Amino acid sequence: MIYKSLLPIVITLIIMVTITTYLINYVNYETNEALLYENRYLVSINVFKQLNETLPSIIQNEACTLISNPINYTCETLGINTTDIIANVLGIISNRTGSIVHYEIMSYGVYGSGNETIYRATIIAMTQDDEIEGMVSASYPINLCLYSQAIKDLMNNLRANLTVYANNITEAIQIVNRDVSNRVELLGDKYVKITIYYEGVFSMVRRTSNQTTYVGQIHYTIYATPNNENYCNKTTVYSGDFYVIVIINKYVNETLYFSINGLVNNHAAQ
Amino acid sequence: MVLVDSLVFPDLIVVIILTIVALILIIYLTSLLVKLSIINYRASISAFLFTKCLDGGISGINYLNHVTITEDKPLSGNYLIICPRITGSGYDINVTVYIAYVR
Repeated sequence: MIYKSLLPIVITLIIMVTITTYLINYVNYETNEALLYENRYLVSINVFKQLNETLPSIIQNEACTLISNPINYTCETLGINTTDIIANVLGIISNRTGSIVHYEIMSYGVYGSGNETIYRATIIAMTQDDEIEGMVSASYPINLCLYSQAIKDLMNNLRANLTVYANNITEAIQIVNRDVSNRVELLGDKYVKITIYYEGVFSMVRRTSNQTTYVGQIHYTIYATPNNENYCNKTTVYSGDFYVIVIINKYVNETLYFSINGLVNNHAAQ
Repeated sequence: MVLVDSLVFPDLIVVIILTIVALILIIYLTSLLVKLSIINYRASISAFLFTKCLDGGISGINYLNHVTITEDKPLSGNYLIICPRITGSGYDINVTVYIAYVR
């Protein structure tokens, strides 16, 4: 009856096979779940985290572009371009993973707050069976929105032509100088440091017995930088012209031409 | 001889059959145990790669004999870890997606 001793071995083996099969199913399921969660984390939260780390340097670059051209490159442009860069990065990831994950930028905003510019975007990462929402944000220590507005205002102020009534040419020159200073001072010195160089040549166009008229074009060049620490050492440079009509209420005999030049800044003590 | 036939032969058949069954079960059990350890290996390697990915990327890992890391699109759902890396600064942003498979 030798087989009687074999039977317990076979029974033991059957029990072991059953336990192992159960264990495999259980462990396999758990492993796949764990992998799913790990990958979901890597393509969503980890990507948001990495974007948050990269965003300050993107914003810094955008800020430098804005500072060198604040009239055409406004706060809104900065927001649009930054969002485009983020969308591009997310698109590459989505594409390279064979669309295992799909990203959508739900909303974004850029606004100035005190002495800062803040960029914020809400992104949704969609994996096969889940959606994860994340927020990326970065700030730049200069209020770029107000800076670009200040430069726009300044350019508008400087665009206006001017008519000066004066008793003599020296007085006319003083009036023009004061006018340029006023246009700059309107801006205050809170967000932007400005220096303006200007010059113009005036020539006599009309002379009657009690009035002499000169016309001239003031050509100005603006050098502006943000008032706080400027991280990219960029300067805004714009130039332009405005016309000035000078009317002297007497007959000026000797002066056919005169010139004006000067320098104005809104930060007296450097 | 008849006595021998009647006593030994059926016993021998049963012994042989039971031995074969036991052998098959042992082979099957072994294969199951191997499968279990492969699952276990996948799990621990993926946990390792996950940590490495969070810790700065899995591109430098070439010392694991059974792990392949590619930058290609995943061909099957058999990948372990997808590790996207965003590097660079300013306008020069590089995006690389590393995908790890078990060979």
